[in-house]
Amino acid sequence: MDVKILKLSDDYLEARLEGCSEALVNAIRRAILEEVPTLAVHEVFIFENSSPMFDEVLSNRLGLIPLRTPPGKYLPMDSPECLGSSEKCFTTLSIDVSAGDSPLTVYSKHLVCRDEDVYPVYGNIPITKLPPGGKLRLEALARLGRGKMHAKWQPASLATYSFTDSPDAFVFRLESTGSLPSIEVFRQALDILRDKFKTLLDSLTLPEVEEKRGGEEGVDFGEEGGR
Amino acid sequence: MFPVRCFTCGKVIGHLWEEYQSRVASGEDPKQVLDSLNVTRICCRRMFISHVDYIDELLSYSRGLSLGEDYRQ
Repeated sequence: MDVKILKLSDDYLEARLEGCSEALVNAIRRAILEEVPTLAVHEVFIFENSSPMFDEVLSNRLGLIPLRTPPGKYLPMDSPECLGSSEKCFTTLSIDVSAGDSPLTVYSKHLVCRDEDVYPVYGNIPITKLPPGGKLRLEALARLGRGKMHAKWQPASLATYSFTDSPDAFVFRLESTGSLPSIEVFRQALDILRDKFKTLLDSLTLPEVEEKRGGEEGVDFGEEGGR
Repeated sequence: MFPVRCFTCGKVIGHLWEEYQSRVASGEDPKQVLDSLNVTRICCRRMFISHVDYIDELLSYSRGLSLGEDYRQ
């Protein structure tokens, strides 16, 4: 397979993939959308909210804000090592703002994380608005999740490919949300696919039963026999 | 408030709202503004042109003074 990068920026990647089947290109696309993990707010503790927005709506908006994700620093929440409240499973962000005599718009830049490597990709996303004298005080836990669990964890808002004049060449387009640089999203998707195929390959050894069965008849299906 | 992401494709658009709003208010053509903000897909464009922000109206009905810790006890 031959990859030629046509356009590359932090949040956009366009590449020409040559000498591969459409199935493989589609597997990469799906790995990007469903498997590449990113950080997003997953739990919110609201201490004070005097904005006209309900706590639920506010939490939903917080979840959708893309957070810069340091690769490898956190464990995905579906990994077996990620149990309970270990340091590697989540990080905490907080908002503590109060409005003075005039209304105040709360922006994503007001989200402060205890880990300085994690921060909102865009600082000027309006979250809510406070009336004069209003307060917003909350703590949020950001976890590393995958797009197949919730769309807020998708690293890309566009992952697609188009056909070319040649049947074994495709133009792949990827638009990152900013949580990870576009090239990193692509790289991680390939790593994940490789690991998945390795798991498959490792499980392809012949079962021991086959070899030591010898003269016995039939395959043992458990207590009920081979029904 | 303006949605953080496009409902259909999930592109982050929240950070573009204030610029869009102020430029359209100053008389620019919404089409030109969206083109220059690199909002290319129709799903994201309709988020901007169809949005009505009514949080300022709700703001006058919300209680500004904080309830404080004493209130809860």
